[in-house]
Amino acid sequence: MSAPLDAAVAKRLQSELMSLMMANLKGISAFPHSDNMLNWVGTLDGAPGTAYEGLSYKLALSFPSNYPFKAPTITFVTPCWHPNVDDKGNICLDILKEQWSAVYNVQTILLSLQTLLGDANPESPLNGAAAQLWSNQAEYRRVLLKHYKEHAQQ
Amino acid sequence: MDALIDLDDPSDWPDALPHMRELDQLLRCPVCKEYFTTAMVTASCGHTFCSLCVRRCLTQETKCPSCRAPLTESELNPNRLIDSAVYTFKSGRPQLLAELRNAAKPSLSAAHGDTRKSPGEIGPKRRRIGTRSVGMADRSDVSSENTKTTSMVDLTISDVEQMITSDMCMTNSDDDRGVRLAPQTQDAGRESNSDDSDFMPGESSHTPRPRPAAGTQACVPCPNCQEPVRQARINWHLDRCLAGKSTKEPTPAPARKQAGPAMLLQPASSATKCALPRPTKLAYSLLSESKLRRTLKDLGIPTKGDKQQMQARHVEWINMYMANADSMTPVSHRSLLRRLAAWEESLVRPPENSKPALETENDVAEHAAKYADSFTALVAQAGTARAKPAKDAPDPDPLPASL
Repeated sequence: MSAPLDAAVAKRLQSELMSLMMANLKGISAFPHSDNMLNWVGTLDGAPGTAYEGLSYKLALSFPSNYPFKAPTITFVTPCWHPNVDDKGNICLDILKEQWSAVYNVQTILLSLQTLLGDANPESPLNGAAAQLWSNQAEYRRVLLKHYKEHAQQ
Repeated sequence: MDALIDLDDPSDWPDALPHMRELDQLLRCPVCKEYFTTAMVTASCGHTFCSLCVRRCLTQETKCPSCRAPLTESELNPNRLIDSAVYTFKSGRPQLLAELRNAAKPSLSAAHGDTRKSPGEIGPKRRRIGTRSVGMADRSDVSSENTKTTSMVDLTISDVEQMITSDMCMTNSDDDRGVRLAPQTQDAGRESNSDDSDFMPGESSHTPRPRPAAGTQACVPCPNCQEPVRQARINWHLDRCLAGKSTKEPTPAPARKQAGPAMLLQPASSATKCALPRPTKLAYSLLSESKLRRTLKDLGIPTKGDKQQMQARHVEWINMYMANADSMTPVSHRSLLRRLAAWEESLVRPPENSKPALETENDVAEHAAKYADSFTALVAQAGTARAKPAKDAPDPDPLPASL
């Protein structure tokens, strides 16, 4: 039903899945979305002590067939109001673009994304409004919660 | 999810043996997360990767995948000691894991007179137990329990030679790397074997396995099927018998293709009949499509597709060819061409009928519900695998020290 997947890619993704499940890290998870190992869904919870504490986001992870030599494409499925995330869910994170390295894995990516949520880079914003408000964390949290309530929760 | 069963993983080692876990992790390539295949060390920053992995990385970007320092292919050197260490480790791994597992199980047979320890007690003590019982007569039952994986241990050099001659029909006339370093790494392999002897009591890969002592030939009836079974094999038999599997005594598995120190003795085969010319890098933008097609034809690789496809094929061919030339046990160019074809097939994007990534929260919820069972099953499987370190246990990636 899916094109032959390079055995090496499949094996690597399976071992990543295993290691992710065994590591059982707080606030991050991911799982293949179909029989095709190349598409995963993930969940990301905001880290405690950050503006995103208590908020949970779904992600879509799509791996290229020459993974890990090319970075996976990761987008937020749950609308995410964040300086480095646009309204389509695209993420601006260097390790997913030019700083990608084949030694990274799903776990390191999800941990980086969790860090990015609490530690944005307002210098290169995809969401100008969020970037402007970033310096005022109390107000930021208020707007964020409002946005989350309106868009992320059904 | 059946495919998961074949995974071996650092977490196969019990929690109580963190050093084994770490060693297992260290012998794996940071790129493919598998044991190193033809390890290459970088000259400038000293990181080690599989030859093919690092060459593929360098195709994308001329930087070290671990530290992002500038790196070119000419700065890669073979790391033969790692290859030998991986071989030795892989050979002894199933046996040692089986020992640990057996020692953790309550005793079923008088053949195992040891007082058994609970699984939680694995530690220095456990290590001694494992070593002792391996030293004792029941070593053969443990290793044959893993015939598939330890069969290499039983290979004599002549077996290996046979494998090589049947499998290999290439040598690069311009590349003598198949032979170099052979005696040295051979020693290294043996040395690491004896250094770890109290920890990894695998037999030397070059000596035939000693037969069990006469006393262990005595037969006892199986409590399950009443068949008379050699005492030394009763545990092995019971495992299979209770699981409803065949209890026929395993005969030594046929030789499998695998690299190993024994092979290092063997100079690369003298047969050169299907050697293809060594490819060189090209400035693709300066080449016309027809010129590139002619180059591919001269190299003996497929010429179908447009320029872009031919270029990708040529790049991958160089990587495969060079990695194969780095290898101590290169495969024939015919098998290499098959790998190239398989690689190319895998590049075809999955067809449209596979659903796109989830669009809405509903999809996600639906998905979560649909896969809840398999998720729980996997977690359970992971849990039991941890308890009885079988080869299908998953891992808690001891976080990339290499990052």
